[in-house]
Amino acid sequence: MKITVNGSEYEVDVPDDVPLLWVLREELGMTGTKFGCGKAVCGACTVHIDGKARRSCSFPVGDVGDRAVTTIEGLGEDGALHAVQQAWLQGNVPQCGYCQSGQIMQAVTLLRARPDPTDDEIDAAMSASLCRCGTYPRIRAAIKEAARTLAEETNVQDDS
Amino acid sequence: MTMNRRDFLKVSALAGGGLLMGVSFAGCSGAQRRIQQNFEATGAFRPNMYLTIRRDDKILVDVEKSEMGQGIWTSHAMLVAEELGVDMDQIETSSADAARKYQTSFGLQQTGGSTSAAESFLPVRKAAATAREMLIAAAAAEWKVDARECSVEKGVVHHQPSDRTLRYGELAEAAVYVEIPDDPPLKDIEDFEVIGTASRRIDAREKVDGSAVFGIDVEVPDKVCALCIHPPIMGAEANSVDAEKARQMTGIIDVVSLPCGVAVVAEKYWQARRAAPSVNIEWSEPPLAELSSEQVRKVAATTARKEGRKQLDDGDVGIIDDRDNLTVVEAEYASPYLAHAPMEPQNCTVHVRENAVEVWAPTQSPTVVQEAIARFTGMARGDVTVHVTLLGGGFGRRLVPDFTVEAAMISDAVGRPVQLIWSREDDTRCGYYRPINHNALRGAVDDDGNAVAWRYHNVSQTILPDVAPTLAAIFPEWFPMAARRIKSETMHGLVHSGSLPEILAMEGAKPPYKIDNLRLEYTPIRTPMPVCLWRAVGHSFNGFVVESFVDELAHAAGADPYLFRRQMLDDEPELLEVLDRAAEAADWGEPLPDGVGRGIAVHESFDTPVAQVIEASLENGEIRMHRIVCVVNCGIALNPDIVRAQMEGGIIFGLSAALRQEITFTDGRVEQGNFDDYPMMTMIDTPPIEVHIIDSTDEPTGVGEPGLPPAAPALANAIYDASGVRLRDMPFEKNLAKLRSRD
Ligand code: FES
Ligand code: FES
Repeated sequence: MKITVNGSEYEVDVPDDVPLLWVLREELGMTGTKFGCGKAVCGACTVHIDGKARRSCSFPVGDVGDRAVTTIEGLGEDGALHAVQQAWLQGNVPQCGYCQSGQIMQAVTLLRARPDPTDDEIDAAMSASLCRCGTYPRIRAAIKEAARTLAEETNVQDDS
Repeated sequence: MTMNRRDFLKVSALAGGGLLMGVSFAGCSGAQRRIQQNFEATGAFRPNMYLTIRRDDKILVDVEKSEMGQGIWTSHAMLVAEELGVDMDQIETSSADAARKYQTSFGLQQTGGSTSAAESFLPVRKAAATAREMLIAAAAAEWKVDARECSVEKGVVHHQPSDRTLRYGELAEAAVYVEIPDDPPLKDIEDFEVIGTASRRIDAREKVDGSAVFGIDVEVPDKVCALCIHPPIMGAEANSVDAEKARQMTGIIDVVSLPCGVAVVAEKYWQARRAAPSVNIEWSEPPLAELSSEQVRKVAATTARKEGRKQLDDGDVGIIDDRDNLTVVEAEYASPYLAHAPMEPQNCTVHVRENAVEVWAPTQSPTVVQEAIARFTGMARGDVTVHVTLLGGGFGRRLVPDFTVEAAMISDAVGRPVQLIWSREDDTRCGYYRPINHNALRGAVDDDGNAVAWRYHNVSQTILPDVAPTLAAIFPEWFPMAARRIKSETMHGLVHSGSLPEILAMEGAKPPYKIDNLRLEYTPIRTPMPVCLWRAVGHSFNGFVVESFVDELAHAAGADPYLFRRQMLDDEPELLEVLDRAAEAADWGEPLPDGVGRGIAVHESFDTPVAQVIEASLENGEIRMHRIVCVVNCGIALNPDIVRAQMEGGIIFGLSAALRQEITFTDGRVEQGNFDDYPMMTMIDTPPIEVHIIDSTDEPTGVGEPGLPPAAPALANAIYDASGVRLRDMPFEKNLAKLRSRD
């Protein structure tokens, strides 16, 4: 079957019911997306499918169809980091780092839907993304930082 | 006799023939020759095992400790940058392979016990200072000037009088021939420019763009993947295996029976996962099938009410019953088995060849892995190369080499490099838990409101016997394998016989308060359920017990819990300081909204005193936290932002256990399997956390674990303040539900 990931089309030869996670990691060699629980309860495997955050460990590759998949590897543009990744760096967010691809992918969709999220909105969007190292306070701060950057970028674009 | 970890370290070093690493890099002509040979082979200047200076000016730092989130790559780089006089972005870090020369921690190359910063502070700086002096000497020789006229800055040696400079890369070759200095001077702490700054984590970039390589991401040519179907009850063996159907499925290479389960090996891991349900196995009935955690809990509780083995007996605790006019307080606390649940499930890649083994492991104990795989293959330790990857969390679970040996068995069976990946359920159910505990306390306060007696009996499953086999790696290779094994087992024999006390179960059990009549008792219990070290180890429950009970005494005395502690800490100025600072920062004594309470706790672990104040309430019977204040004294904070992160992480880890984590088993079957039934704190549970670091120029002490112990008691004390409900059983959410159903 054909599958579009990070803007490129790939041909993969796997049964329909294989979770997208393993297709990304093993067939396409994109290991930034992580395996944490395998049953959609931790968020480590979060990717975007047509812009929506999805748990790839529980998403059969056959259901992707012609929708566009984005992974952590394809988040930034032209080798530059996305504003959310940048805010993560700034805030020294990662500890072990294992959950962070998923956290970042989740946060990006939150900021698309809510460019200036309240604490409650952040909690609601992020509380299903687990971090055993306890980076939650920093994730919260980094999301707000990214929101500011993105707002400035939008302003600049509006002005020009 | 009380024995702490430092004493233990001495004992184990002694056992291994005095292995504590000296911090001089000079003194043997072999070292000098090795530097030259290394240059001939690689074209780089490698003055010692910690760093390499390349001709393109890159500084490569080999980190002998495992990076599991605690920021050791960053702090090693900072130590090197400080003494070598280079910018952080000139440095690249990577994990060092297992090697005897790195065995600094308890005679092992090990990352645990919050030792990373403390153990590296001197040797890594010495290593960099050695390089610096050699580079200066090389430049001075080149210019034919006095070395004392030269200094270093930003990666160059500078000769002030003639204002000439040479880059380190340009000096790499000449430095190889300079004699290794015996005792290179170190910078004074007061002159530090890099250490003590909140430098950005050196591993942050790769962890936000997905390129970081954890164990699970290792790629090796010709690699195959495996999972292991573990028995439903630990210790069971496969009596019969029907894998006919599975073998027919795409990609399946083999189905292999092992002593610990049945491995399904495939070209791809997803193929192994698809095939696994088609394997039918009949399992034997192991001894553990007779056991349930509820039984263990009951035995522990009954035992705790009796007298235990005395560990300390000051004054006369008999006054609790004998003296009049005392208010006597009695309480029992309990805490369950706990899993570590690191976010990255256990995994390991191993290639067993005819005469050598290569291992890629997310491990906290590289030399233990080396020893364990050498034992399994019958090879010499030197034939086993262990590469350490990034670790997706450790928390103590990755000190145990079980999963690496399992991977070696599978590779041995199929003759190819094998990557073994455990499922989350394997990770939760395959043992090595934080032990279960039951703690009985009796104490008394007199008419003046002073605590006069304290008696504590701790009953818990003893840890050392289960981790003793790992100690075999302490002994040198010239010890025959069998002797290494026997020696390591004698050590746990000593523990079990009572001639060596169980330091791990009793660490943090002695209250820091001045109480004249004090008795500590301990009774070990043994079960076939394997246990090991879990973040903060004994402190994880003793901190809870001591800091909850002192709160109960305060209330019995009608005293303010902060002032009550304060008046008994005259002999503990460092604890007093963090306690005072925490009370002040948390606005202790200021009014709070209705229904919200404050709780305070102070505890020292791994030489680091930490105090915390938590504001919490019960909302519709649910625990809600509103604010956490934490004050820590960890000596000089190598990187204050990493110290803050470790405190935040330790607090949240501790609160996950306090609120809702528990491993239980019935008839030997572990009842939890994944994050839905072994839940942790989430963002919505996490209130703002403020961390304050005491200014200090003392040597650094641990930060990975000390944030954890005060969190649970501070929360329990806050809930009592808010509602009058005393939470004595972890996990609290279950404890609350039980209390409610009783009403
Ligand atoms: S691995 Fe997919 S949600 Fe946990
Ligand atoms: S950073 Fe380690 S699990 Fe989140």
